Amino acid sequence: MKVSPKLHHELGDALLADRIAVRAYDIDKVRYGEGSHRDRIQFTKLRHSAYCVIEAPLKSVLQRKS
Amino acid sequence: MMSSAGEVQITETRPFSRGLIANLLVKFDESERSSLLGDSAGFTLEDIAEKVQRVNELTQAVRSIPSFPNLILENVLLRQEVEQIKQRLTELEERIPEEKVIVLKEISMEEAKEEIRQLFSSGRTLYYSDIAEELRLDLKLVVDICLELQASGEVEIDESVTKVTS
Repeated sequence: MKVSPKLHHELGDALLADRIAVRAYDIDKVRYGEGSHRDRIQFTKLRHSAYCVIEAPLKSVLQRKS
Repeated sequence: MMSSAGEVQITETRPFSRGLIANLLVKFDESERSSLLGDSAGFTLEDIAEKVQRVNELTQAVRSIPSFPNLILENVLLRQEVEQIKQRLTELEERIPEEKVIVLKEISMEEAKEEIRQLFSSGRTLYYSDIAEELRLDLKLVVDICLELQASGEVEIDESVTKVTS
């Protein structure tokens, strides 16, 4: 069964989640935003065939039921 | 050799060599003569007085520097600061995430799906990135396969984890 994920290609499309896995050919150095040491925001850029997905914790159904 | 009574018995005698006898009979040369002059080591009284004068001048010069004690204190503080900077640098180096090279396997989708099934059979809760890293598979391929496994009912989202994180 072929299932395609919801792909967002449009400029300005955004993802918001606690955990996002990314893959790209080039990833810039991580930069730190303003703020306290503990809560500082980090950001970077992915370039060339960047692919990002909101991570989901998956578990085997059979294993869970047994 | 020691006898039973503790006395030394000479069992072997050797004649003095010619070289040894010649050394004993030779006259003192200059170096041996100077070694007999005592602590002055051959310096004249004027030489010693001149050296004492120079040492006194140096001592006066060091004492005349007004900030000399301050320089010592500053040196100690700078050394402490360098140690703190070294320690901080070590901490920062430990925090830098190490780059890890993963050589992706080039296998068919069916083979990848079977490997992912086997990984889930361990009973662990896994994220896409965990699977991609452990099996050395492309992230997009992992996501596609996991969506298929979800659609077929083989795997599902672990609600216990999402409840904790939300």
